[in-house]
Amino acid sequence: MITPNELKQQAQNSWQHQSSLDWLSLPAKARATFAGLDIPTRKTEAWKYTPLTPLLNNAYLANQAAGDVDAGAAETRIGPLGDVSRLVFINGHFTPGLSRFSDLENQGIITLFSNANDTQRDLINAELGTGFEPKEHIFATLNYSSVADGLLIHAPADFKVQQAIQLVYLSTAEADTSLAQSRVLVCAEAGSSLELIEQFDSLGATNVFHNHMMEVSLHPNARMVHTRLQVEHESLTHINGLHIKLAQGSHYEQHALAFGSALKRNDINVSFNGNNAYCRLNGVFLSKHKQHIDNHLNLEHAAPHCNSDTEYKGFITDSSRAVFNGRIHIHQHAQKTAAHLNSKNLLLSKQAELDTKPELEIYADDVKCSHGASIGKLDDKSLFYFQSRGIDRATAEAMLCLGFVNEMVEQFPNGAVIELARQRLAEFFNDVDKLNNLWSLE
Amino acid sequence: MSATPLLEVKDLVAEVDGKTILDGISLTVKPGEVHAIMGPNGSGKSTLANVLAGRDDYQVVGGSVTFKGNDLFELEPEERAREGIFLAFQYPVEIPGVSNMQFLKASVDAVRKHRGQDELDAPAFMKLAREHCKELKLKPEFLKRGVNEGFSGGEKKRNEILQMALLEPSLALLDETDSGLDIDALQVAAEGVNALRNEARSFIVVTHYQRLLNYIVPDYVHVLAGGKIVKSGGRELALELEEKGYSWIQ
Ligand SMILES: Nc1ncnc2c1ncn2[C@@H]1O[C@H](COP(=O)(O)OP(=O)(O)OP(=O)(O)O)[C@@H](O)[C@H]1O
Ligand SMILES: [Mg+2]
Repeated sequence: MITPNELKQQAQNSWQHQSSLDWLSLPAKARATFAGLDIPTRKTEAWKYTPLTPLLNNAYLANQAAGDVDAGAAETRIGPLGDVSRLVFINGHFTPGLSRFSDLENQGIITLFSNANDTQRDLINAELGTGFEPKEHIFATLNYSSVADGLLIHAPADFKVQQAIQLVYLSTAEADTSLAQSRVLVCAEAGSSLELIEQFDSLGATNVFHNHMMEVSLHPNARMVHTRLQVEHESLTHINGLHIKLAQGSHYEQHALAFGSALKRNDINVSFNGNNAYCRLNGVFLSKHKQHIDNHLNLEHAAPHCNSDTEYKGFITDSSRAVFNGRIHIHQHAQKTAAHLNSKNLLLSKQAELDTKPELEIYADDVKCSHGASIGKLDDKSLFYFQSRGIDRATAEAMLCLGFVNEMVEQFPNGAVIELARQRLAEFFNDVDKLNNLWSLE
Repeated sequence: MSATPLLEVKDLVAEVDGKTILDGISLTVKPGEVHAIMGPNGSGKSTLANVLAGRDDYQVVGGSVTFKGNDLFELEPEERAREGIFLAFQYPVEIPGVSNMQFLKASVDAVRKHRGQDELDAPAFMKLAREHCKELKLKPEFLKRGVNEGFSGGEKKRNEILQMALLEPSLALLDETDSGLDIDALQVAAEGVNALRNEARSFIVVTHYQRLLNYIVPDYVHVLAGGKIVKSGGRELALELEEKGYSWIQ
């Protein structure tokens, strides 16, 4: 086990100069910022319940992951999603052989940083790294300190991107523990719309630390529908930053399914910068065995007349550990905000742990806000309803648990993604079969 | 008609948190009979139905209940259902995320298995469920939706009748199945019940309205008040109650 300082040193040693991306201004800035930051410890408020032990125990940062993969195995794992534009990344590396997006590439809507033209370079330089406070997001800063490549998704004004865009991130087993990084910048000009599907998965067990970043900027009246599946093998370490800026009248909707792993941390940060913007965050996370999953949501209501609806569900069993932090911050001039956050959790074993902290900071006086969190077991009335129909208690408990999760999954906007999610869920539940024992807690 | 009772309730006393709710109830139901139970709000009608179905919120502290000659309290709720007790709930719960179809299939599978009947394969089951839906004037989409999720009051009640029709119980307890039904739906639901009436199957119908009893004609009417059956009679008792209310009895 290394010390946090040694980890920082390891990170700084890992940085490589990318001559092909000389035009990118962010890495130099990010490196300078990173140099002044400390690796979070348990004393760091935002990381209090999520120790970085896997990073200290494995020399992930000593090696850069490669992107080799058996194409057939990858294809099988990815599964068919029908008529979508698809980009596949193996351990963070773009993999052309598995990708097909020529239509959107030709239209200049999807571009790798390494292929960006001057206009696109200007856009990337203007937007990248502006969606968050670098000091508060050390892994984002780490990500931007060493940029091998990146992805730009740019919807021009009033353009409706018809095909959904599927981004697949597969982690694999490398020769050595190693670091995989990836980043996406989404810029939707005024009045445009797009649907994005992010699929994080792995080919069996993996010894990779995946550090992923996405920044989204929705210009006035732009719309984005975003589905995220994080269904990787439990051996993965994954830190994920998503930073969303909403201009006037824009609409952002997210549906997420996430499994726990050695370490999984999601930061979702939404800034309401213009009036009448809307954001929905729906999420369901599941953890079992000794997995860990941490969802940190932060809604910055900095403009008036904006609405947000957040609904998260957690299924936590065995000796796994989950963290849910939902912060709503309503700035002084953000009058007429309606912000609702609800988190429901099923804690299904005595060894399972959930740390949840509601944070509601309201500085405006004319707002409607609610913030609810419940931690419970299955509802007795519902169980009795099943039993009164001849269904035994263990089956009733299993069906109710599946229903709890399925209620979120069936709201996914894309039928093929629902199917895929259900397959992964079936795998997840495969060894949660001692439902009887697990759930007969008093 | 066989003389052996299907259900025999003797001096049943049940309480919640030390508070007596059923205070010595006796009731004998023979195969093929329809018993109506009426009575003021809070008198214990739903409690009686729930105790018979096995809800464990209530502690049975006295008396006995036999069903088909066996001690009912020896059985778990799901075993009672498999043996033929069906409760149509006054307030059916909503179970989002579990489709009505999944729920009905699991239920019918469990009950049929216990009765030594063949399991219905998915297509056969779908067909059967759709037919019953049609009879109850429920759109087939109801089968795909979450159990009772977002159903109107009347739709929930018809969904209960649908379940009863699929499970073919020997004793159905209908707890205010008529409440919240419009006039047409009431007739449809009553037809659903009447279609199941035969010399072996019995019903206990809890209602506030004698109107239901025009459609489902009872053999006996009981008045439950303060946790006791305070009066029993034939179907004319319901008419009398409608006219005079409950106060003249106590
Ligand atoms: N779980 C419970 N906990 C506490 N009290 C209860 C519980 N269930 C029932 N009671 C009480 O027992 C009494 C009888 O209730 P019950 O629901 O059986 O009445 P009811 O006759 O069905 O009334 P209604 O006509 O309004 O449906 C009421 O006073 C009720 O408040
Ligand atoms: Mg009642």
